[in-house]
Amino acid sequence: MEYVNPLTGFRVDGRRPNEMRQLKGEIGVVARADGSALFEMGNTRVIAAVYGPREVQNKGQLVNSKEALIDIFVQVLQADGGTRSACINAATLALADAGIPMRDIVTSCSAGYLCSTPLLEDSAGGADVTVGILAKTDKVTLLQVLLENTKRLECQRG
Amino acid sequence: MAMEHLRWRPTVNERDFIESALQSDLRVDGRRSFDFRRLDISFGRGCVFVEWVVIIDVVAVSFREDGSSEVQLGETRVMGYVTAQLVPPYRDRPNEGTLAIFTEFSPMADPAFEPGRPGESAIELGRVIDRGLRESRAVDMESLCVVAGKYVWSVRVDLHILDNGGNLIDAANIAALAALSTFRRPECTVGGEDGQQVTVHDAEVRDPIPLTIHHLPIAVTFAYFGEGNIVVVDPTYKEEAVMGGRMTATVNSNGDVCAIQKAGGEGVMSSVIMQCLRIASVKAADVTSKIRTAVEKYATEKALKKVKRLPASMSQKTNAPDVTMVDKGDDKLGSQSVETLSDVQQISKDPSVVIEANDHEDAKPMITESSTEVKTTSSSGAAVESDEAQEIRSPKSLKDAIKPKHKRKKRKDNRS
Repeated sequence: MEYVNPLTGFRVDGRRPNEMRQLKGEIGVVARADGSALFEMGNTRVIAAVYGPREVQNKGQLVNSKEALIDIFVQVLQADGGTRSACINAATLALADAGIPMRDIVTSCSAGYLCSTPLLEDSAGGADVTVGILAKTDKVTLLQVLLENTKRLECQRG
Repeated sequence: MAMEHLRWRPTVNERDFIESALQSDLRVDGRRSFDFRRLDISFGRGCVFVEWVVIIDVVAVSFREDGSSEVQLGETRVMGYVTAQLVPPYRDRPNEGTLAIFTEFSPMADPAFEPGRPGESAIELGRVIDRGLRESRAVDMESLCVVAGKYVWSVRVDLHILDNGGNLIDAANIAALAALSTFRRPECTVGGEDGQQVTVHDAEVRDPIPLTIHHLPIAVTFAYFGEGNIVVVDPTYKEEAVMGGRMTATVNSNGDVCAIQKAGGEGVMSSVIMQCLRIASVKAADVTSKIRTAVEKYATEKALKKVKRLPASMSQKTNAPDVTMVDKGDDKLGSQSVETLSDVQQISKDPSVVIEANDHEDAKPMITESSTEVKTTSSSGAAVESDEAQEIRSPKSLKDAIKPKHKRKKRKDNRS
């Protein structure tokens, strides 16, 4: 099966290889939470809720008493590939909505590699990479590379 | 949370010391940034198998020795051992065997490990190794199929953390690879009236078969300090307690990236990550050659042992029955019965085994005394041995067999 049409250069869902799906973010979707967000990447829908910061309930003797706890709950409402990225983006959005001070904004996206073509946000299987990037400082905080089958990526090429 | 209580935390002074030393390119154990600690790989020394010697049989040990490894990386020690059993395959993959990784984090290695429940680090370690091995297709799964849709070999890798001196992932990964490289499963043949009967041959009747391993995916872990600009490879326990982030790249000696795992932690420039991957591929080639040499050394040692004649208890086992699984026609796998068949026909076909069996009858009184004697007679031919054996036939056999003492006695008699 061909994932990119050789004539038109489009993928089966009408995107170009380096094109993302439609993004949609919405905050304040969970009324009781301190911060919440709904994040959509195409048909992938994820909801995140943030409670806190709150006091740590059962303090161990070694835990610093000044430490506070922030609860983040993430729920995948609809999974159509890239759920990990969508969850990270939703959590960031919810944290921002809760007004929690952050050093930077973490964003995430995934890409695949099929038939020697890099495809942004594919759910077709094969080699797959998910990155989490700190937007302001442009640093990588999450990196997960998974090569299924015997597909190989040369590290020189990246 | 409870797990974190027992985890060692560096004092402020220690943290400062380690960090400021790293700023000036020094590590607390004197290594350079991209040096691995000393790596030792040994085989067939698992403490589990000591029991086997006593309880079961020496044959069981000689077989069980395969697929057991112990890796020492600095102060970190991991034991790996591989076992296999015949199971029905997954429905969606009827002609592929399975490979599963199990980790055992004992509180003996580190009080931070809780007994029973696997902690966060145990799960991450298992997943990183599993991903590197399974999803890069390092072990050939189709060659583990016996009868498509009915029987495949299910290979299980157990990784026991014996001592946590930091960088468990790399050590455990090497242990898994070393154990898999030496593991051999019993040969089995398909036959019977319906062509579905599987005969599993004893290790003494037919040589066990090694796994087909396409490449060795080596995990190389990097620790990041400061703002992600100080990088070291193979962090120690103390460095792990201080580090801001960690990345594990699984690379093989061809320079192919099999998997990368960097879950959170300090952000790192993408250029630094690319540099790490290049270092990882150099390190992977290094570790691969170390594993290969260790495996070859073990194989030669084993081959040399095989030349020597088998001890008495072993040759007895040549009549070991093969286990035959009979499928009773219907698809229910639960209804299968396991029968034992003595493999006399196969033994008589193989001349070497017959000789051993004969030797055993004659030479038994001599062998039972000590195992060292067995080794000395081993190089001599079968004919010589039978001569010796005939000499020994007399009731006082053993004492008489030792000539020096005999002579000494006579000399003493002469003197007196």
